[in-house]
Amino acid sequence: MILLMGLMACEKNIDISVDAGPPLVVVEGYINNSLRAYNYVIVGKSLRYDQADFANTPIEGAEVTITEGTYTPGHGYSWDDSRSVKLQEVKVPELGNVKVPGVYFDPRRVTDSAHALLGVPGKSYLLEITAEGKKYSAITTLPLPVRIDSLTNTPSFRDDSGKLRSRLMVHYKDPDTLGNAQLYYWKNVESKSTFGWGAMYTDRYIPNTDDLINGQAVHITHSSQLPVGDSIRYFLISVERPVHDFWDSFNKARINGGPFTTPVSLKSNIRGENIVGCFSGFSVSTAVHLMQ
Amino acid sequence: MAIRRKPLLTAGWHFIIFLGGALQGYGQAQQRDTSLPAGVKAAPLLLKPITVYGERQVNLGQMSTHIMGIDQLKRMPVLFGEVDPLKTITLLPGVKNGGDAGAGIYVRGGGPDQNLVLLDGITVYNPNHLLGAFSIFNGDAVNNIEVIKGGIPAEYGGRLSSVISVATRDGNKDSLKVSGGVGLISSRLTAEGPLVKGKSSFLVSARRTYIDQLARLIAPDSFHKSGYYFYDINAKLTYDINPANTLSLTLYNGKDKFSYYREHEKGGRKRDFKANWGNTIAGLTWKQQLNKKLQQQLSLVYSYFNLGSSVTYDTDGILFSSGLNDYQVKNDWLFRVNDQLLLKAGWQLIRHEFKPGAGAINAGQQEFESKITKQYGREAAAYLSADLDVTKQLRLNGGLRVSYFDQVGPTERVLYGVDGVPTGQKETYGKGAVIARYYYPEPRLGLRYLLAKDASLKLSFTRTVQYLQLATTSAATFPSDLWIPVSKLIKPGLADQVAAGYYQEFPDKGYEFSVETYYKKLQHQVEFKPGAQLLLNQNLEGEMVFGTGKAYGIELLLQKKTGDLTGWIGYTLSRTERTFPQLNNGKPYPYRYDRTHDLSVTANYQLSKKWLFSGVFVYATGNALTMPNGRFVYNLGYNSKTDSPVFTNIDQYGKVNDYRMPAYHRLDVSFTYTPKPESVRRYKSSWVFGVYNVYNRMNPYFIYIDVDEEKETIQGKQVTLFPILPSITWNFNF
Repeated sequence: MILLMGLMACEKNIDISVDAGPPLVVVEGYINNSLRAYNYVIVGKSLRYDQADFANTPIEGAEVTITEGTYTPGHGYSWDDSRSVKLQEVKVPELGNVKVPGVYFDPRRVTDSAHALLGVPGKSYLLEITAEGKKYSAITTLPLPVRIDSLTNTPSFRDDSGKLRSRLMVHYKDPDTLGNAQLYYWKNVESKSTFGWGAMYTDRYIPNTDDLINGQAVHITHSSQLPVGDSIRYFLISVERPVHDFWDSFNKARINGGPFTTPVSLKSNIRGENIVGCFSGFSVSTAVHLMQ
Repeated sequence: MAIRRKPLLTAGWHFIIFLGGALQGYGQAQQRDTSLPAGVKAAPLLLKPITVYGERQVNLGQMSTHIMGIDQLKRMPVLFGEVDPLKTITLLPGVKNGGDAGAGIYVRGGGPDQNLVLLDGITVYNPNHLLGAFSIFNGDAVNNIEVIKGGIPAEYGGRLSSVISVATRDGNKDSLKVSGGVGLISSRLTAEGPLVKGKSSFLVSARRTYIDQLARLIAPDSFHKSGYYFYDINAKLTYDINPANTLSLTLYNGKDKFSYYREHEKGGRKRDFKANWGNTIAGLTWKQQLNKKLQQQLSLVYSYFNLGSSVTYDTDGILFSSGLNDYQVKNDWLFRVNDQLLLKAGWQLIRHEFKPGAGAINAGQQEFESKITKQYGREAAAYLSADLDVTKQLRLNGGLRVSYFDQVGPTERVLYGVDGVPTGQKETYGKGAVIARYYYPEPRLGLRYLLAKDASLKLSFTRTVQYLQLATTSAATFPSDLWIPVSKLIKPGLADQVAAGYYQEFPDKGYEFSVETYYKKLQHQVEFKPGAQLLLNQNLEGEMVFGTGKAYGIELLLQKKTGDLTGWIGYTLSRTERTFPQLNNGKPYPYRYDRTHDLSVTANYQLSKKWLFSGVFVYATGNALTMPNGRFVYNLGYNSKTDSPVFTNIDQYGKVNDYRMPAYHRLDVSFTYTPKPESVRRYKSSWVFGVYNVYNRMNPYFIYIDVDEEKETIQGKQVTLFPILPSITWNFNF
């Protein structure tokens, strides 16, 4: 069909007019146990379908708090008010020391960065947002991290431009309990120029739950071609199922595009009206590998 | 109507013959202008394929039924000149297709899996080639096609919305004949003849496309490892054991093979995609005439559908296969009590074996092999129906079908919590252990009242039940058809339809007019959640949402059946919608193939003895579509070196199917040239010159919003599949 379409089909530009929906509040929040700088919450508003500026309208001056707590089966969550942090739109060095509207950090990132907010595996976190008079909330739990057994790489090869490259491999054992899910991130150790989970490398095409491979030794080859000689910091991130489901739906939605598009809605874990997004509890194991 | 002059074929028998489409072979209705085979002479001949054309709609007890014979099918202009019964019936009111190359037929608001597609009484699970551009029914092997849209008789079941029954031809019992055709994209060859003269015959018909070979001539080199073709073979053997007993064997095998290969693209990745899918069908039928009043027919049926595909994307490879195996025994009885009363009874047993997707990742990434466990189902049904002439005007038919389905082990099942979320545990069922069991009575009622000699009124009510669903996502860029059975969570689909019709004939002018209206309620409808994981998922049940549907409409049909000019005008005004609590905020939304207006005009005109003109015009309201009504960026990051944000654009969707594609319309014409129409020689040939989409209407196949994040542009795009397409076909027989 692709072949046939390639030969016969023709494509033309048309005007599409759709009733624009109400704007959604878009929340992107993280709590992890490894990188204090990477615990932040971004709050914004969605755009019209025909707006091509590709930046959400930031929501400034929102009240954003994260509270640590514990979950006990049968008793539910208990929140520790003494471990509640109010996040603010502060100037952080990673963002060039400018206040970026709609991006909320623990203010201790500026005053006492060694004690800024950090997640603890096994603990739960409550995110509360009050923005433009409306309240939103989300809960996420950091599972226990899964140990990286080793990082290796495939034999090197030369890419089209003749540069020597290889692919990164991660080896770990899936825990015996069913229902574990992982996300895979990495970044170049040398690179200080990028910031944020969205700027890290990640592999999105792997069945990353253990539905089919429970308890097995897992060996994953990431398809990215990385330069030999680069030092890679790898993050094996364990997440609870709702967080996995959100990023899974996100990956489906992001590769969506072009003629075969079907509407994919993100599986948000945030409660409130007209809201989309995820409060992601990332339980991180990390290791460094030199590409050889 | 030559047959009406035959003394043995009383009015009552016509009725049997007609309804006998169900009892395939008791009588196969055919075109009016088709001659009767010489064999139709004595009583036992009722076993032979009696070719009667279309009992007058006015007189017929059955409503919402259309039959088209092969002569009529062959006259219709079609895409690439390929005679296609399944495409042609979509020109009838109430029967719709999904657009150019849209797989699937949608009858009175039902889904594409709600049609019982039969080839000589054998269920066909995927009746399409080339993702729907062609059907698997090769015109050379087909005798006729019958569509029942409402008032479905009790002998049919297992699907909610319609019966589409294709009858293949018997081979010639007296002499060997070869016929065939050479067309732009395919060639066909058929051989038929006697095995034992006058007693048994064979027919073998095959075709293969050569689009791939043609494409290679014009496509760029990078496409040369890509290709697509399909082939199919139909065969039929018939054997008259004695005047009262006949055996027939129907065989079908067809396959589509598709491959797409691209050397490194700009991203430096190699893509290699292969898929092949096809059906294998076999059916053995024994027909027996016990006495003048009693007949029976016993069929053993095997049906197999398989899809296999492999995707290699750079270093990663995924193998995927899915399929379905059916074994069936079917027995139908027909008892003509007297001139007023006809009884029918029968039963069937089917064993289904579902392979809902086994797969393996064979290269790169995580190497593993996954066997999604097979599922098994047992389906059974029994029916009894009576057709009674109460008075000369009033004919009643009432029937009851009772159907049963159970899903049985051995299989594994994912367990769900009260919130419908998988608990992470699995249940294992041993062989024969019942996982879910359903049974339903399916009443069928019909009434015909003759208002005058040339006018009648009809009413019907039917309940139908469906135990298998076709899981498909329109996002799939390759066929991912998965037939899955009802289960603990998936309930059988139910449909209740009431229909009423008025029929009027104008015999001296050769016109026939009918108007039918219907209301249909659908329950336990299934949709996949947006973005559902279909491949390699043991937990398919968990990816589904359940809802209801309704459809109503009015269908007008004016036919001209005699004279130099023949054809019809069909018009449907209809609405069909679905309501799913988890979709569209629980509000009803239009079904994707909701068509407010649907018009088709067909005409055949004999210009001269040598030239026949045919034309088709269609107009349909555009398909309903969900379009993004907003967008946002997510997964943000920042690159200080370039001082630029890192982001991913995500479309935001509002109301389901709230956008309408532009209307679909098209005119096709064809001219058939027969050089020597009066030749008495054995060898005959003809040429068909066709033009598809004469005025080159750019009908939308897809509409989408193209988002270019680098150039920061957003642009609506429309893709048209078939522009104006001429075709030429040469047909011969000797």
